[in-house]
Amino acid sequence: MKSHFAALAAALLLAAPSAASAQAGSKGTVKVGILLPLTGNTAWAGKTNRIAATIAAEEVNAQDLAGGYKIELAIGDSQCEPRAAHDQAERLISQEKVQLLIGEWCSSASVAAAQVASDEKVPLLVNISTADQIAGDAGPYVFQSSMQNRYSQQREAALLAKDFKFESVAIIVENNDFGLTFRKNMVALMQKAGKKVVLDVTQDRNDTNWYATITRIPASKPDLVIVSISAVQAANFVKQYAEAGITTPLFSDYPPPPRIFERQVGLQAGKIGLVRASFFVTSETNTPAQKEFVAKLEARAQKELNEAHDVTYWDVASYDAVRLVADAIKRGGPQADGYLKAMAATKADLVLGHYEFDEQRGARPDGLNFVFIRTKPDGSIEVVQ
Amino acid sequence: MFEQIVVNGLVLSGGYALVAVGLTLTFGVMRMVNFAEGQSVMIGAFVAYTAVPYVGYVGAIAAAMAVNAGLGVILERTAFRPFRGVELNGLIASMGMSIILVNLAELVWGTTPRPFETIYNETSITLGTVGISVQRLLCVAASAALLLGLWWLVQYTSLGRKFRAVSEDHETASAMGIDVNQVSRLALVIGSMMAAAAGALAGPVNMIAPDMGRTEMLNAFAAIILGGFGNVNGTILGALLIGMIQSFAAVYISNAYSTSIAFGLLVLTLIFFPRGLVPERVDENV
Repeated sequence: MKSHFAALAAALLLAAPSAASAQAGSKGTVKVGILLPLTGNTAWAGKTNRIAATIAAEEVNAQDLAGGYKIELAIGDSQCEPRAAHDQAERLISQEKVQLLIGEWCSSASVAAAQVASDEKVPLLVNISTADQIAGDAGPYVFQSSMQNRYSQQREAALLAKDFKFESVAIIVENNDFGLTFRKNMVALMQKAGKKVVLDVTQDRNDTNWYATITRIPASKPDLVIVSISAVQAANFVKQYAEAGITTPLFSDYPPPPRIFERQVGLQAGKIGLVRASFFVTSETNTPAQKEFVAKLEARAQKELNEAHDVTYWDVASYDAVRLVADAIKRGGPQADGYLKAMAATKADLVLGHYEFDEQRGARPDGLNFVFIRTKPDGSIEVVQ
Repeated sequence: MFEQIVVNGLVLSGGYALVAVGLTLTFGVMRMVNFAEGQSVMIGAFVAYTAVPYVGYVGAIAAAMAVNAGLGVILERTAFRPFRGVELNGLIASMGMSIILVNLAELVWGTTPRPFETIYNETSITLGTVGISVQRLLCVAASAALLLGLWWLVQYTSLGRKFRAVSEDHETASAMGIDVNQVSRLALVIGSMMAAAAGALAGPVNMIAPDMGRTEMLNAFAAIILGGFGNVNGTILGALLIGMIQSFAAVYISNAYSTSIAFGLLVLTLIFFPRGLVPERVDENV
């Protein structure tokens, strides 16, 4: 009898994985469109975001994490541009017949995609863009799982008040939704704290020549310069700032990706003593889930792109977004009504942290990771807080 | 601050002018627009970046110009000569080549922007309250020298006379014994070499990436239109004006709209001077 039980148990164990994989897809396939920049000046980031999303989809299907549905990803190259994001969202919906959307990367592009999602009544999860109220302004079909600028800037202002001695600031941002919401929030926070904003500049996102802006800094004599500039532009800015020999302390919003940025302009950033915020940085203090994700993505990126890669916040957000979508499908199904209700009720612990949404469908900030890092003179990173 | 704005304007103008004269040379001789000129800037920057550890910075500029000379030959043979007289097809072919060059660069150098450091980045000269790296000053000086060299070549050499002859009437030039294909090829080679110099000089000022060259291309077109299409001297004047307007507008009006302001003034100028500031007189053009 014992041997019969043992044989039965062994047979069940052997059958278990195939039963699970047979179950994923038993209710059908859900096509999920992802808007990412695969060409243009943020393509370098979009390519690894796609890999991260693909890893998540593979895991969802292998472990049946979408409640019997299989997820199939359809990628749209939205180039971090509003027009391209709009067109690709339309294409994914009308030609690829996606039922759900994720993306985009740049806030202005996400706003454009959100407009399409609302018009076509296709749920969209904005997973990377951080401009305020993208979901709140777009209506019930749009959720935003990234931390909005207003929350991150409150934390940044608190750090500045604690660790920096200054009475006046220069605020420099890109002229787009991302930069302008940062500027609005930061100016208000600085004024509330009694600090004087002596220079307030916006610059075109594609203009790599920051020298004109930098020229104006010494004349306005700020005690501190605060910037919110996209990743590559931030490298251009820091390079030109250091070359101009300006010694005014510099604080940056989160975009410069840790280590990738340090490889580009680490010595210049270290010379200035740049302090910046970050949603994610690989370190010894990472959670086991983060360490596991970093190992998986770095290996896969090396294999597919044939180059070493340091995991970015955007990679983590891309992975988590697919998992959030799968979780909502599991609880509410892929049809819009059920899916939206399930997404609103999300309580998920994923790689970046704990996700829940507020009544405006924006991610609650409490559970999400946020650290401050400083670039040291040798170009390495130290976590400040 | 005035001196810094002027130097910044000269750095911008130099880069635009190097790209623009290549474009205008090609257009003057072949009556075709080379839409891959911006990508030639990018290839020049990457080749120089790759060559710097082996041959030093000056050698790297020369290496970039040499590689781009080969690129010019390939472009002429694939995207221009087969489409001579069918300008629209040539235009599409050069656009296609520009995409191929971007993809090629992504394969060879990857998509992540890279820093291109030279010894001239590390040294700055203080003007007023802001330092200016020697690299920026080198950009201005080298651009001026190259443009002067090109002007001399066009005005005073046998090749320059051939350029002007083909530009004026390529059939008559051919009947007079000038090898039009060879002259066209040399126009593209020189244009590509100028683009390489622009990339190798401006690359160290910013990050280099496969998508670079587009802004330079756009502003170079503006310079050409402002100066008078096909006219080298007018093009240089146009580049100088565009760069200076952008630099001053960025400081005194708005950084967010400096390009729009420059292009707005371009449109305004063209309303009063529809053929550009230096109107085309074919016999004096290239």
